[in-house]
This record gives sequence, structure tokens and C-alpha cells, in this order.
Amino acid sequence: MAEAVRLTVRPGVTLTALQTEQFKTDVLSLSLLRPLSREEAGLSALLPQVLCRGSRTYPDMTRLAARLEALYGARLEPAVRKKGEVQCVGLTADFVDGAYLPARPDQLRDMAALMGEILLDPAGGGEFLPAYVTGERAVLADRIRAERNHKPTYAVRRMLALMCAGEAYGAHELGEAHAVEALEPEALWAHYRAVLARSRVALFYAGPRPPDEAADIWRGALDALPRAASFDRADTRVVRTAAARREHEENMDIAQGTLILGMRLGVAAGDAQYPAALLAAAVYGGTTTSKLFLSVRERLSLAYYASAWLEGHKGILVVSSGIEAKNRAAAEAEILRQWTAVAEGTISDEELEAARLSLIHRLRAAADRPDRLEDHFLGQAAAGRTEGPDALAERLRGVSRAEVAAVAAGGAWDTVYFLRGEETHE
Amino acid sequence: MNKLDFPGVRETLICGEGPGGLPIFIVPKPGYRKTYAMLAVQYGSVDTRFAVDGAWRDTPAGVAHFLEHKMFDMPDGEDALQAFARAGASPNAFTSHAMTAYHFACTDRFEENLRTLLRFVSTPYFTKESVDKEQGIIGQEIRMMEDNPRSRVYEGLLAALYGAHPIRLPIAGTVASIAEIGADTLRDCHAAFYCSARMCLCVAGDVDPARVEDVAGAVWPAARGPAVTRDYGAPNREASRKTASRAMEVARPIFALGALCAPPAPGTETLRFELLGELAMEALTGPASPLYKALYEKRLINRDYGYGLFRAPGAACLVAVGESPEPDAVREALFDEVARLGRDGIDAARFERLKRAALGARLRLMDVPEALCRLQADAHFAHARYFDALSLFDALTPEAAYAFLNEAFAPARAALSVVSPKADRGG
Repeated sequence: MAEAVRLTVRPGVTLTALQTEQFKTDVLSLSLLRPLSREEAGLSALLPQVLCRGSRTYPDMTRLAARLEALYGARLEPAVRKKGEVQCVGLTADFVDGAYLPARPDQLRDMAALMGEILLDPAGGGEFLPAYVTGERAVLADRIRAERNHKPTYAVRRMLALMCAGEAYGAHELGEAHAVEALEPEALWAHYRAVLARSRVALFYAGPRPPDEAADIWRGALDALPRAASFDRADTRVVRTAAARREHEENMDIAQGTLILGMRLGVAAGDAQYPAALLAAAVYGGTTTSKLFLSVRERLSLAYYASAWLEGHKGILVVSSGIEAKNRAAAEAEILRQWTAVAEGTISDEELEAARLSLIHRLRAAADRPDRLEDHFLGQAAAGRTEGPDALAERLRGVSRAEVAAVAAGGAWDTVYFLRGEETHE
Repeated sequence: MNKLDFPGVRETLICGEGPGGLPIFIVPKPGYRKTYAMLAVQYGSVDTRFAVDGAWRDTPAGVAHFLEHKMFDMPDGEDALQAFARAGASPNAFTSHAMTAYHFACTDRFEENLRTLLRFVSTPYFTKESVDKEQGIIGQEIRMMEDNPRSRVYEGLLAALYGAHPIRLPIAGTVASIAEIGADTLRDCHAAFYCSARMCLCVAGDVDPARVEDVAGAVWPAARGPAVTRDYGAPNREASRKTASRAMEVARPIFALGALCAPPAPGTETLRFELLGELAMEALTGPASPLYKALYEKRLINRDYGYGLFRAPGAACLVAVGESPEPDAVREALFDEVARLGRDGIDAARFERLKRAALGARLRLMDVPEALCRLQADAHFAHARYFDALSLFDALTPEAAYAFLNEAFAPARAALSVVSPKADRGG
């Protein structure tokens, strides 16, 4: 695989380009990098939803969808992602490279042009069509409310929101449902014009064309992007210590409870100890040979699943498990006990190497998935870094047991959240 | 080994054979770091009633899935998961209505991992103790699925559509049905289905095909297996019930609408059926359809809306799934649109565009080894080859797509399943 190259396309606009002939599919993305905040999150999240309703040439969803069909079923989606305390707002696309199609159309140029038009030339001319804004704000609010439908994901989100209540990270990247419902077309337009000019923009391309050519194509597509004299700063504050441990509980009428724990590990993606932190999380709960899987699930049958992962941008370790309410105390005690074992260095050679191999495999295999690379490099762009998965895999090779234990010993449990089943029936 | 080239899409399918006639399919992916291998068994949740060498037996719901969980245990006290972990592979397994599949992906030590895969799937080892314990773990999994409204609404739909076909039962079974599963049930079902005649090995990656065949030859047992007949009950062409409903902790109602189709004949006809069904649903309710715009603008659907063709042994239906404040209105609109297409016809230019999009979607999937292996296993169990679908596009017409819709969307053939929010709660 070729190395990813980062180029500056316009002031504050960088492109991460990955030249590869491995795939039939090309990937493009465009993200405005915004500082995550409760005040702004809903406005920014609503933008790509409204933009994807229609542009000057394709003014409604039917014509836009027909255009995508004509581009051999190209996919184009509004995207709102949270990378630490950076809210990444924009568009992602993937499509079959023209080399694999009859008559060899220039799909890349066509898609970049379409994305540029959607971003810069919305239907309605000098304003957003009010029906699009009122429609999309309702859809977005429904989507935020529907998150509670999927209990395990909802519970993780709630834990992180409670844990980081006083930090930007605690904000929902889609905003709050009631606030989103109140957003007006005029306010959204003003926000749109401001953030277009004031945001840093991260672009991505993976496909067979050379990076310079991809940059030229993007430059042409974004020619009309306004650029301010300076750009809003968006970065992530890593909190390295926890105060007293906090506990929260919520009830729902569900069959299975979900127990989520959050720890301030104090090590984030930019730190030298980051590979050790990743390895600690993997030994603890990242694989089917991990301590949590083997103890909480296999040995004690306390849970159907019990896993842990590192939120690398923010340096938070998250544990998630699905349990019966009656097992809560036993499961929590075991979850805490297993972390203590990691921190004390009670890690067998087999555990350490299996976790290391698993992480290295995942990082190296990312090279076969352009969509994963896109997401990885967006995270890197949001944090002002350029490290690819291969480089991180290399850094993992040298991490020792003592380093894993040392990182683990520095962590402090912060928040325990339990979504309790009511157990009134069945 | 037999090498089939598909130059239009620059893909190759290599067909080989292991002991007992185990079919082996390899899709070479030069330049890929990851190799993916899947060992699939034509044994899914619907195979509850079958005859082995003429002797019929009925098994509890959930055996295929239970077996999937227990196969990883090995006689030496070893767990196949650990063996994969030591060799840096990421293994997993799934059970669907139609198949059970065991798979791994690795970036190194492929042959060692392939040996592990072939070895553990061909080694039944079930003790009473471990089966009893697994009932607890699967019980938790079943309860987790019970809290998943998307699964529940789909299960509700299939139960409404099918009165007799075992597709009406949840894939994992129920807490009650799995309590009836013992080590002997698992052994018998493994002996009946886990044999070369009812399995296939699919590999996608940068591999030497001859080595795959060599490893299979060295590890896989030679038995072809007994003769097995399956029974899915009398086929029904009308929905058993028109509606299914359930209240859950959801923010808004979730619906699944289904319309029964006559299951296709095996072979290339199955591929044609799937492709035509997919195009027909795109024409009816895809994002570029007038119906989609109307439903979306009335907020009767949102971007979560999905649709397509569902097929399993002895069963097929067109489905539309989504969130809606008024599922009945969506149902009515779908039927009205089928009627309108009957009057106005499906626009020929639009149909050509839909074919382009469907071709593009298939080409994109060819970049995904996991998808290629699963699709080829699916096709093989239907006596077809996945890549052959590419040659079927030209012959499909808008008229055939309309006929497909019109046959399924008859009131007697449709059912609507709804999961509604519990009263006075959250949201």
C-alpha cells in the first residue's frame, strides 16, 4: 500500500490522498472541523442533512438520487462524526472507479464536482428552502431520540455524557433533540456562511489517481469555498485525573441490563504511551482472549458480552457489559478486579502476545478497507497528525508488559452507569 | 482446479474440491493484506425437521445457533478461539435462517489458521457440563435480542407471514426451546449436516489456491455424509396473519412490511429472482422514486428506511422496514404505488439507471472479501455461482419487475409488523 500523502489544497484545506489500485471503489470525503460545543453542535449537525436535500442542479432528493444512480450507484451521505472534541461535519462518498465501467467515465471528477456543488450551492440560492430545514430538523431530532432504541449504544453514550458533563466532550455531536427542533432557516443560513469561511476543512481521497491530480480535482470543485483570514481552533482537552467515582442508574423496561464503566486513563493518541494504552485495553477487554471475555463471560457466565476499548482522542477507557440486574454487584467487582490485575502486571505471555497480534492485525488489515482508512485519517486530521495505521502497528511491536502495567496503573475509574431492566415480568 | 475468469469485472473464481467432495471456492485478491476464509454449512435455523437416511426427526428451535456456539470447544480442553488468537487471526461465526458459517481473517500465518478452522469445525466435542453452561450464555444473548426492536419487528413479520414454515421462529430459538437441547442433539445434528455434501469453503485474498486445496486435503475428513431431506411444512402463498404488534421501549413506532413471493427454483433462476426483486423494490420505493419523496416529505419515513428482497430455503418476500408515526399509511402508499406502476408502467430509462446502480453496488462488494465469501456460499447452496449474476442484467425488463411487484403486493399476501412505544414513557 502506498503511504498516505497530505497536501494543502487551499488555505486551511488539506487533502489526505492515498493512491492505490487495489480497489474497484474510490472513496472521497469532505469535513468541516468544528470545535464541539453544546451551543453549536445541533446547528452544525443539521447543515449536511439540509445540504443533501438538494443543490442548484439537483434541487430535490429525487433528482439528486437519480444523479447518484446514473453514477453507477454512487453513495453520498451526510456525515457528522465526533473525533475527541472536534465535530467533523460534511459528506462521505464511495463509488465505482471509472476504469471498471463501460465507456470509462471520469467518476472521480463527477463526484467531486457534485460534492462541491452540494456544499457550496444549495437549492434556494441565497437562503435555505424553509421546507428543507423544518423537515430535516424534525428528522434529526427523531434520530437523536431513537438512539435509546439500541440499548448498549445508548448506555455508552449516556455514561460518556455523564462522565464528561463539564467538558466539551460531553456534548452530543448531533445536538440535543429539543434544541435542534427549534433551529430556524435564517439562523442556519448565517451559521452556514460563517462556518464555511472559518472552518478548517479535511478532504480525503483513496483511489488510483496520483495525489496531485486528486488535489487539482478537489481544488476545482471547491473553487468557490470562502476562506477567512484565520480559522476556528478545534482541539481536544485530555483530562488526566478523576475526582471521586460517580455512580448513575437509569431504569427501562428491558430484559437485560447494561453496565458501563468509564476510566480516565490519561493517555491519548498523541502521547508516547499510546501504544501501551491500546495494548492495555486489548489485554483487558479487546479480544476473545481478553481478561473480561474469559472471566466475566466464559468463566463466571455473568454477561453475554463484556468488552473494553480506548477512546483514543480523549484518553477514556470504556467498559461495556450486558448483564442481569441481579448480577450487577458481582459483575462490577469482577470488572474492577481484572483491571487491577492488568495494572499489577498479572498478564501472561500468551495474553500479551494475543492482544498485540490482534491489534496489529486490525491495524494492518485497515489497508484493505478504504472506508476505515478514511475514518482513521479524519481522526488524524482532526488532531493535526498524519500517523497511518501501519506506523502505529510498528510502535506496538516494542511495547513491554511493564509499560502496559504502568499505563494501566495510572488510570482512575470515574463513572459507573447502569441501565437497569425492571424485571417485573418474564 | 477449475479457473473461471470474469473479465468484465476483472475477477476470477477458482473452484476446487477437498476430501469427500468438499467444494472450495477461491477469489484471488492480489495485493490484499488480509485473507478471509469462511467454512459454511447449509444448516440454518429453519432446518428443524429433517430425515437422516429416511428417519424423520424434529429438533427444538435454536440448535443450529447452539451448535455454532459449542463448536469452538476442542477435546484437549482447548478452545479454537485461543488457537486463532495465538496465530493473530480474528475468528467469528454466525447463524442465519439458511446457514451456519465459521470464518476468520488474518494478515499472517494463513495456512495455520486455515488448519485450525477446518479442524475445529470437523471435531464435535460436547459435554453435558459445557452444554448446560452455554444455555446460560445463549439465554443472555436471546434476552439481548429481545431488547432489540429491529430484531423483534422482523421476527414479528416473519411469524405473521408464515404460519408453518420454521422461519417463523427466532434464529437463536427461545429460552424454553434451548432448554431442550442436549449434547446428544448437538452430536446428531453435527453428524447430519457438518459434512462435505452440505458445506463449502470460500477464501478471498492473496493466496496460493493449490495450498488451500492441500491444507483441506490434509485436515478435512473424507466423509460425504448421510442422505438428508428437509421439511419446511406446506408452502403458503397467503400471509398467516395480516398484522403483528408489540410494545417496547422505543422512541417512535418501527415497522416491517412484507409481501410473499413464490420461492425461486434453484440455480441461476435464484440469482435472477434476487436481482429482479431488488430492482423492482428500487423502482417502487428507492430514493429516486416518487413514492420515497412523498413519504419522506410527509415524514412517514426517514433516512433509516430500508427495503429489499428476503430469501431463505422455501421462503421469499419483499420487505420494507423503517420508523414511522403511521405504519398503516406507509403500507397503503406502497400498495397505491404498485397500482400506479401498473397503470403508468416503470419508466424504461429509469429502469436502465437502476440496473447501472445495481451493477455498481455489486462491483463495490467485490472489494470486500467477507461479502464475496458469503455471497458465493449463499449462491452455492442455491446451486449457482455468484459472479454469474453479472450476465443476467441485460435480459431484465421493467415489465418483469412490475409483474414481480404485482404478484407479491396482493392484500392476502402481505403482513405488517409494528413495534410501538410503550405508553407514557421517556422520549
